[in-house]
Amino acid sequence: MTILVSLTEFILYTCFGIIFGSLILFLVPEDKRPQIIISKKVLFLAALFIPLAALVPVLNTADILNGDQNYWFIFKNILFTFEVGKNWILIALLSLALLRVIFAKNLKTNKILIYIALFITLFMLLGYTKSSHAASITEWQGFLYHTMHFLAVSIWIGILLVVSWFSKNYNNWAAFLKWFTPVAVTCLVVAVIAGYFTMQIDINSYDDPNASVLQEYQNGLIVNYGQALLLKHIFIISLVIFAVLNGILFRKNLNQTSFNPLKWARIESVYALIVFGLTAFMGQSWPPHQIYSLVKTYGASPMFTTLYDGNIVAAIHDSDTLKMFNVSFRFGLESYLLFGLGFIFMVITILASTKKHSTFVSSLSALLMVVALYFGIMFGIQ
Amino acid sequence: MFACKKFIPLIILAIFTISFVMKMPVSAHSVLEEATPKKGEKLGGPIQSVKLKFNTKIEKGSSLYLLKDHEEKVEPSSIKIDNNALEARFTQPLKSGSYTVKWEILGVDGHIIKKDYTFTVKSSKAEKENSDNKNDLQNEESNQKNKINQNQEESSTIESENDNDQSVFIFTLIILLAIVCIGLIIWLSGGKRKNSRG
Repeated sequence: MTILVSLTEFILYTCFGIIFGSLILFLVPEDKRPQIIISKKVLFLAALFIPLAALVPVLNTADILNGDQNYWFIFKNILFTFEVGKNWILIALLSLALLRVIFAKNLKTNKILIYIALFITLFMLLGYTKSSHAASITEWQGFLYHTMHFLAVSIWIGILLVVSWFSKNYNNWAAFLKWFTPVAVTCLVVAVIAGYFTMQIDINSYDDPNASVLQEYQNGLIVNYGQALLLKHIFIISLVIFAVLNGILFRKNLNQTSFNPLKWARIESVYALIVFGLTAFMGQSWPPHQIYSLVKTYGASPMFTTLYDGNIVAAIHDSDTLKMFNVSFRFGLESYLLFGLGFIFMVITILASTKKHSTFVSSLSALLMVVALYFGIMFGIQ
Repeated sequence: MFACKKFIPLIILAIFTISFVMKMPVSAHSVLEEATPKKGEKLGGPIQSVKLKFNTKIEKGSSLYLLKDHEEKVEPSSIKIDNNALEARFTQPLKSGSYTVKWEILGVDGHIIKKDYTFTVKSSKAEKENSDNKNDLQNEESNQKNKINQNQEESSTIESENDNDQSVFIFTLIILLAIVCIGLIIWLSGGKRKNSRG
């Protein structure tokens, strides 16, 4: 079930990205971007899929509550009285409106229509982030940060996805990079800052109100949520490496006729999609607010138990008196070896792409970098 | 501009939704703030209801039940949810014994939160019964301690096996990564076939 819900969530992020990306690219003059052929069917499907994907958590809640009463009654109850349900109605109404705008014949040329579509999509996004976890546990901060994070990522990765997969050619690539690089950097900065604050809310420990964010992050590693968060952060390093390659390091290669920037943009987008997938999985896992009771009720993450060389049963027993866990790190030789290897793989990624233009080697070594860094960190857990 | 007229209803819808978003009640995470009876409280007489108060609104479908002396399940006859409070009423007054309140509430973000706490009811009539209970409890405790000890023994053997497995795993992983790394470096430094793939 978790996997299914995560998958729909992943597709939902991608749909938001594609809609934002294509609408923004329609607004950009044709001489400042590659020629893009995105059929209306794709936009139509994306707009249609968002309410369908957002319905899954509603059905999930209905499933949980489904007792002896009939399902339809519970479903109706959730739709009209629960936050998730009310937000879903909003998203569904907006999606109908968006579908209407997408159907308009002159969508790609009429700027006002594009602005209206962007506006509707923005409100769909607000409807979605409104029922997110961070938004639900704080008064307004979580909603604001999560929205900023989601919006910045949707714009950046959305444009990237549409350009890399729906471009007919790579004409005007230099002109495209000229505006896209600053946009991407801005979005990345906003996403990182807003993401940090969202994370602070999502992993906030109730067991120990004075715990630092770093300590909470470390403790979170015991459960699936924290594991996915760590992997997400390491994958973001690869994503940023490819973003720097595409945006800055490849500039001088652009006049070589044999150089195809689209291939490299696609690799960047694949790494972005991996990050989306991990985020979607996190959304369906338990946030580590009360690690102690979480581990007791649901058990530790399988990734953590296989890699942790201590004993989780004894650790739980010890912490019974304290009613909390504290994960700490001590990096041994093996961790430093792995960090070193991770760094070398990073250098290889950059050299393989700038010197040899090998997409295979650079994406492989970026992946190995993730492996080395992840295990390096996990072996350091005390 | 003519085409825009058709979209006036959409604009109205948009304005409607803005106000909808703005008006939506502020929601927050559910943490138990107050409970009657309190955690660990020893009550002198029987009670007929348990009240829980949370820091935030909770959704319908939240519930609780009691476990008397860790085994007998006591279901409430009615549950009332009012914004951030949950009140469970029982048809029979609770007799003396230790009660674990198992609550399960649905937060506004659709997350279920399960927790429990314990209180005891003591009535003067049942003094004797109570002391019996205490003995039972002590027995149980020592049983549990034994169990934990057993667990620890079992787990310490697992640990040493784990330890071995793990160092083999770390070793293999580092060697494999290093081999691939050296291979890639050789590939990088040799062969001047630029742009062969680009």
